[in-house]
Amino acid sequence: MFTSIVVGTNWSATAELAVARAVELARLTGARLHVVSVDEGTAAPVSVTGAAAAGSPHFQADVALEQTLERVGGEGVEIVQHTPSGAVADSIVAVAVEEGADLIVVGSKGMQGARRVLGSVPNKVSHHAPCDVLIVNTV
Amino acid sequence: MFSAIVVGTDGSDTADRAVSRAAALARLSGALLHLLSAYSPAPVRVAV
Repeated sequence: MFTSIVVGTNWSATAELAVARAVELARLTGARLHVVSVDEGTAAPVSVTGAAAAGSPHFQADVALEQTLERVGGEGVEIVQHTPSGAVADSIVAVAVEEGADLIVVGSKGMQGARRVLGSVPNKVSHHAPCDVLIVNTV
Repeated sequence: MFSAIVVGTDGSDTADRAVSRAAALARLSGALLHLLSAYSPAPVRVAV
């Protein structure tokens, strides 16, 4: 059903729910999974611990991905990491276009804090996506 | 992964695409698929 899935994460605990769902779907459908963590030039991601927190954004993302996949169980899924810089939603959509993705997975909380309404990231992604969008209930 | 999926449709061709995707997801995850078509009742005319 899906051959190429893009999931956006800022390595927060709520975003991890979206990554877990994306990993599950990738495993069930045999899709390749593109994990996108956008470098917004802000502080270290909350779930990165130890020496990684002091490293470069790319190194941080490497370690964060490794830690995340250990927790959600990423075995057997082909995973490609992307660490673009820029606006979060635009960057996620851009990766989806470049990779010919047929599904984007994002959390409902967005990536800029809790909101009563749909977060700005899933909102924007849903309007500009070139493919299906799964908004995981993470609020 | 999913145990119950709801898909809304108005019977149109474009809605069919959503139903088709929902059915595939339901099959994949063993979920029960709920098809939903909402409608607005026609106004009631009362003869006097």
